[in-house]
Amino acid sequence: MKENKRLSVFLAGIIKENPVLILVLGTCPTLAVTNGVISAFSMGIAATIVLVCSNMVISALRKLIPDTVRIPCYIVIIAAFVTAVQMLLQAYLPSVYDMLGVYLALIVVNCIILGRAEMFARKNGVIDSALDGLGMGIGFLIALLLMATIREVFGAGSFAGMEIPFLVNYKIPVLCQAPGGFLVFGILIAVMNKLTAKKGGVKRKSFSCEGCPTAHICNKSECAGKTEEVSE
Amino acid sequence: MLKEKIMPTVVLGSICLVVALLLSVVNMFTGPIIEKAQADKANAALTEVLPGGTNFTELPVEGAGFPASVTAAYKADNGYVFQMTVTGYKPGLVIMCGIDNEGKIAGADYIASSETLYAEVGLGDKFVGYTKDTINTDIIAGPTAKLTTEAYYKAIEDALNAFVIANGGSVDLRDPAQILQDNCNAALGTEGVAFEKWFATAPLGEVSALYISDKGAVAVMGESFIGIADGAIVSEAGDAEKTAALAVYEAYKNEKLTEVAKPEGANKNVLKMYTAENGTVVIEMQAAGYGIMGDWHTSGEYITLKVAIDGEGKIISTLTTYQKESENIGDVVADAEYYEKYNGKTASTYTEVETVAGATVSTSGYRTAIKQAFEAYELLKGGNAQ
Repeated sequence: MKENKRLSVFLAGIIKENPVLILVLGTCPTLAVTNGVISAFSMGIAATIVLVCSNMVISALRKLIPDTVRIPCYIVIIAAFVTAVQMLLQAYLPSVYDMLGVYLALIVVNCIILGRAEMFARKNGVIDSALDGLGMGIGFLIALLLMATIREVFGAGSFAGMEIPFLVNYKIPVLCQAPGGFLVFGILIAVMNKLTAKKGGVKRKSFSCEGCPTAHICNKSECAGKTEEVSE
Repeated sequence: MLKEKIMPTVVLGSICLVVALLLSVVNMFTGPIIEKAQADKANAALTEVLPGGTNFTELPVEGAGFPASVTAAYKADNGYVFQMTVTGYKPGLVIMCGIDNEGKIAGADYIASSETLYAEVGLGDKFVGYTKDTINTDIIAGPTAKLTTEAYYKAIEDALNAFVIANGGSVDLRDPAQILQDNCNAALGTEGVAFEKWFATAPLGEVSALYISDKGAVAVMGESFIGIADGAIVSEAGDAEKTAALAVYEAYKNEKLTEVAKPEGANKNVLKMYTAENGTVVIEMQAAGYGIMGDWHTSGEYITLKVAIDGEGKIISTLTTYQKESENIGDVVADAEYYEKYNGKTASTYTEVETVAGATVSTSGYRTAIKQAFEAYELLKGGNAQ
């Protein structure tokens, strides 16, 4: 029973609660790094490592961290892992470090990571939190790879930097630019909605109250920690 | 109450402390690797132009007395690398030049450029092996991207000068035009006077040029500058030199040009003609260069020039007075180095001045104008004036 629950926690992030295509989180790095498969893969792996590690540490310290300073504590923990990943990449994979540029440091404020800390890790055990982080990270990675593959293959006529001979003369360069990123992003969300609608839709949790860091000081009656379910 | 106030601070402070410690451990391992990688990256650019260079140390540029274009300097075990920022067709042409300990150029390349004709690409390789004594403008000979190649040359020259200065030597950093002006002033015993080259209408003999000003004139003979004020020589010179200099000065003082009508049959490109008492004919011409013969986007303007042909039919002087040819290409016609090639030529030898590859339309037009000038000269001498 417990194992089934853990499996569902792990799988949730991949499709049902895919952070990019269902929850529409982490849009900034998604659009920025998906013009190439290698950069998308690197960002996905870096974010997954930070997500798993920060989820585990936050979960382990959840009983020690006072509510009033939990967000600064989460930020410090996440920033520490991001900085460590940055240092390691700069030392051992400098080309990846240069490729990701400022977006690597911006993982600190990636709302997927802070969102999972706030929504999951602070309420669950270390193993569940690690699985949640891993599932969400893999979901993020899959979404990035999917988008990057479409953008690079059709926009640049290559895959992971390797030229695809029969596509070289049929490139759609706009796909590698920001407008192309939005276009592909929108199409993928539409496809995802269509696919999930066939199976009765994905039940999404609203983050309006439960996930709100200031919900505990909010006096509005609607912020009583209730969850709203939206069905498609 | 106390717990509510202190605990958050203690927990946050503790987390920060642990995080700082952990990051310092990570940094302990990665720091040296990152530093080495960054140093290697910086050195890679330097070793490109100074192969085998090791232990690069940056030298101070401020107050070092280097040419103004030198923006960075590095010393290595086997030589120096200088970085120059110059203006070619556009500002911001940044060139790195490596010079070995013997003063030979080991390599040169640009690291930033906004030039348009890509003349800077690979140009640095042509300078390899040259020294301050052997470098010459033949290296950049060619008509295209003149502004770019000249700026590149100037940058390399500056690097060679900086090398001498870095090794404790001294270099005259004035540009050739300034040196000429200073030499003229020195010959005449003046300061800051501006000199202009005389468009000679009489044979110069041994004198290569006469520079004139409101304070007097200076005749240049080889490397000698002979000052002439109020009709008398005012600088040291041999008797033969004095005689030759005074003869040219007299010709200048007695120059009297009279405008004459264009002879019948003269080409429409002949604008005006003048004759001098010594038989020289000065002809003002227009030449159909790229501005006229080129595509729709050209200036639509003629090149104008004047040419002085002596009584024996030999060109004494040529001067381009106006041009709007393509920048960096056809504007070669405004270079004294180009148009002075016609000096000494006759109606049968002017074709020895070849058109310049890349600026063919401009220089062909120029040559045609010279031909038409000779035709007008012959018509005038034949007595067919209108």
